[in-house]
Amino acid sequence: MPIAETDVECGGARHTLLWVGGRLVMLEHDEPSGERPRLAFGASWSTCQDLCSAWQRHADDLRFLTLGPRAPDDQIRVGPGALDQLAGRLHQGLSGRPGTGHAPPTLPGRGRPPGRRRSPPLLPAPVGGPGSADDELWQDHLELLRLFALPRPLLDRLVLEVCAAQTGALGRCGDPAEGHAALVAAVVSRVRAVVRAWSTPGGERPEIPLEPEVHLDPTNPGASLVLAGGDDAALRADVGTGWLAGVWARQLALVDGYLVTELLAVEDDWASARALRPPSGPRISTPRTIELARRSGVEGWIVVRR
Amino acid sequence: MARADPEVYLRLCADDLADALAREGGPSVPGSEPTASTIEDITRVGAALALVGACSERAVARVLADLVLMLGLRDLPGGSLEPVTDGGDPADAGPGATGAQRHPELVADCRLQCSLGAYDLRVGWLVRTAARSYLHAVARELPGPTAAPRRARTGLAPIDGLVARDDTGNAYRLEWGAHGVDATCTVGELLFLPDLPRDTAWLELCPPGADPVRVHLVPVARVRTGREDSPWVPPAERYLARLASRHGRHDGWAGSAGVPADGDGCEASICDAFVALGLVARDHEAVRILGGERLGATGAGSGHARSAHTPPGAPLVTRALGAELPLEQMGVVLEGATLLGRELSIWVHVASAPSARPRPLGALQPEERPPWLRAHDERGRAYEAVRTRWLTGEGGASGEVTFAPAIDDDVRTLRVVAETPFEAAWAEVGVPGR
Repeated sequence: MPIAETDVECGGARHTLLWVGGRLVMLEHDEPSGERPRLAFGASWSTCQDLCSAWQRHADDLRFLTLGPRAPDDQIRVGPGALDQLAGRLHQGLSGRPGTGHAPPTLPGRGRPPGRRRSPPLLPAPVGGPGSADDELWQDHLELLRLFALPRPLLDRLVLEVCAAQTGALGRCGDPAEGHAALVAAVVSRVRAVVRAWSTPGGERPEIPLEPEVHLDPTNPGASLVLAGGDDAALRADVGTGWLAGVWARQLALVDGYLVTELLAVEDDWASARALRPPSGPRISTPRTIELARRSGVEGWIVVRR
Repeated sequence: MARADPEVYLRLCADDLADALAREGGPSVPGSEPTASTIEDITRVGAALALVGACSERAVARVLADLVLMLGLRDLPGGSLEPVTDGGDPADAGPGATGAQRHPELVADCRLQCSLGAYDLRVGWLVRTAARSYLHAVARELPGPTAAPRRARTGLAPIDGLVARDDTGNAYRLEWGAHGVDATCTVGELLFLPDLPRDTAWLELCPPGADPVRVHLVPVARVRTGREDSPWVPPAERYLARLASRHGRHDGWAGSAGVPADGDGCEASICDAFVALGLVARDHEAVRILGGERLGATGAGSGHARSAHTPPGAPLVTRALGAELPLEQMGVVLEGATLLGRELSIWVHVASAPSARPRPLGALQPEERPPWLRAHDERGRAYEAVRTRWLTGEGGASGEVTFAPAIDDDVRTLRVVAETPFEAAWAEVGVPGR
C-alpha cells in the first residue's frame, strides 16, 4: 500500500501522521518509546502519540473488520462533534478525573451531513471512577472511535493490518474462539459485497440473481476466490482466508468491473492478477489474466492490459 | 458454511440492514438473503434463535451491540456511537441473582374484600419472596364521582385505610408495586412497606369499618404438578408451530421476546432464519403458514373480550395456588387463579437472569420470556391462553394469563400446561369457588 498521511491538531499546532511501510509514524515527535522519559517531567501526552499508541493497540482488533468499511463506497462518518460529545460525557461522569490535556483530533472534511439526527444516548456516562470497568470501557470505546474517525486512506490501512492479523489467526486456530463467527461473517460479508458490486455494474439490477453462497475454508490460507455456478445452478464462492488481506484490503478486489480472484504478482504500482470480466449474462466466465496499475494521486487501481 | 452458524447468519442480516439503510431504501439487493430487514426483525430473529437454543443470548447481544455501533459509525437511523454492553455472560450472572430475590418462596391464602372510598379492593393471596412481600390485589372503581377513581385507575392511589399489623404489633403500609391498569380496575401487587420480617407467623389486615382478617403465613395446600411427556419435537419446530397457532391473533403477547404477536411482521424473518439454518424443513406446515399464506383471525383469540362471559357485577373469586412447576430451564410459579364470571385467569411468576438479555436497543429492552400456557379440563376440553397482562420487573416478571373459551359451570379442575421449546410441565388447578 502506498504512503498515506493526515494532519492532526496537536498541542496547538498542525502535526502530520504518516503511514509508511506498515507503520504509523509521527513526523513532529519522537517515537513513543523515546517520548516516554519526558512524561516523567510533566510533559503532556500528545494527540499524535495517542493515535499512534491506539493504532498499535488496535492493529489486530477484530472490531475494525466487524464494524469497518465493507466496500470503498461504504462511508464511515464519525464527526469530531460526536467525539467531543462522548469525551465530554466521559470526563463529566468521572468525578475528579484529571483532563488528558487535549481534544480529539480535528480532521478535515469529517462533518456530519446536515439534517441527520443521532439516536438518544443508550448508556449513562460512566460513574465508576478512573480505572473502573466503566472507565476502561469508555476509554477503549473512544479510542476505537478516534481511529474510525481517521481519514479513509489511513483507516483502510489500519483495516489492512487487522485483516492480515485476523485472517492469519483464523487459519491457525483449531477450535473456534470467541469472535470466530464475527470474523467469518466479516469475511463473508465483504466477499458478498464484492460479488454483488461485480454483478451489478453501475448499481443496476442484474438480469439474473447473483447472490452467492459464500464458503470460507478456515484451513485454506490461500488468497484466491473461486466463483462457480450461473445459469440455473446456484452461485457459489469458495474463498481462502488470505484473499481478504491479499486482495480485498489492497483495494484490488474490484477494478474497472473486473473481479480479481487471485493476485499473480504485485509491486508498488503494478500488479498482475486472474480476474473475472464483468458479467454479460447468466454464465460465469473463466478468469483471465489482467495487468493493473495504481492510479496516480488517488486511491485505487486501473486495468491496463486485459 | 456462512449459513450454518446462527451468529454468522445474524451478522449477515445486520450487514444487509446497514447496506439497505445506506442506500436509503428497503432491503435493496436483488435476490439477497437473509431477509431480516429491520433492527426489530433482527432482534426478534436473534431472540428466537436464542430461545430455541441455536445460539447463546450473549452472542445475540453481541451482534445487536455491533449493529447499533455499525449504524452509528455510518450515521444511519437506529445507530449510536455510545458504548453498549452485551449484558455479560449469563453463566457469570448465575441463575438469576436478582431473579432469585423475586422468586415466590411462599404463597399464602389471603382473601379479603373491602371498600376503600372510591374503589373496591379484593385480595386473593399473599406472596413472600427473598426481597419483598406483597398481596395480589384487584382494585375496581365504584360508580360515582370521578376524581378518586382516576387515581385508582392510574394505580398510584395510596392504599389509605387498609392497615396491616403483624404478630408483634408492627404496622405496615401498602403500596402498589408492579401492576396493570384496565379501564375500570387496577390489578397487581400491593407491597408491604417495610417488608415483613422473615419470622412473621401471621398478620392482620384491618379494613375500615370491618373486622380484621388474619392471614397465617403458611403455604397453601399443595397443588399436584408433574412433567409433561409429550412427543419429542425439535425446539425450533415447536416454536414455529406455536407461532403459527397464534398467527392472526392479537392475544396480548406483543412485546415478548419469546413469542411475537401478529403484526410484528417478523414471522417471515424468523421462518427464513430457521429454514436457512436447517432448524426446520422448508416445507414445514408452520413455515407455509407464517412465510406466505396469511390466515385470517383465528377463532378463540380474535376479538376476545372480557365482557363476553363476564356479566356486569360478576363476583371475582380467587384461589391461591403457590404451585412451582417442575421445569428445569425456567422458574415458573403459578401464584393463584381468579374466576370472574366464567373467565379463568392464572397469575404466573417467571424468574430469569436479567443480565443475559440483549440490551443495546432502547425500544427493545430485555424482556422476560413467558412460557406458553394452555389447559384442558377433566372432560378433555382444551383451552388456550388468549390474553395476558405481563408485568415485567427487574429479575422476574409476573403475568396474568386468561384462558378461552370460557369454562363451563360444571368444570372443577383444569390441568394447566406451561411449555417452553424444550420441555413442558403441568399443574392441577382447582377452579376458584368450585
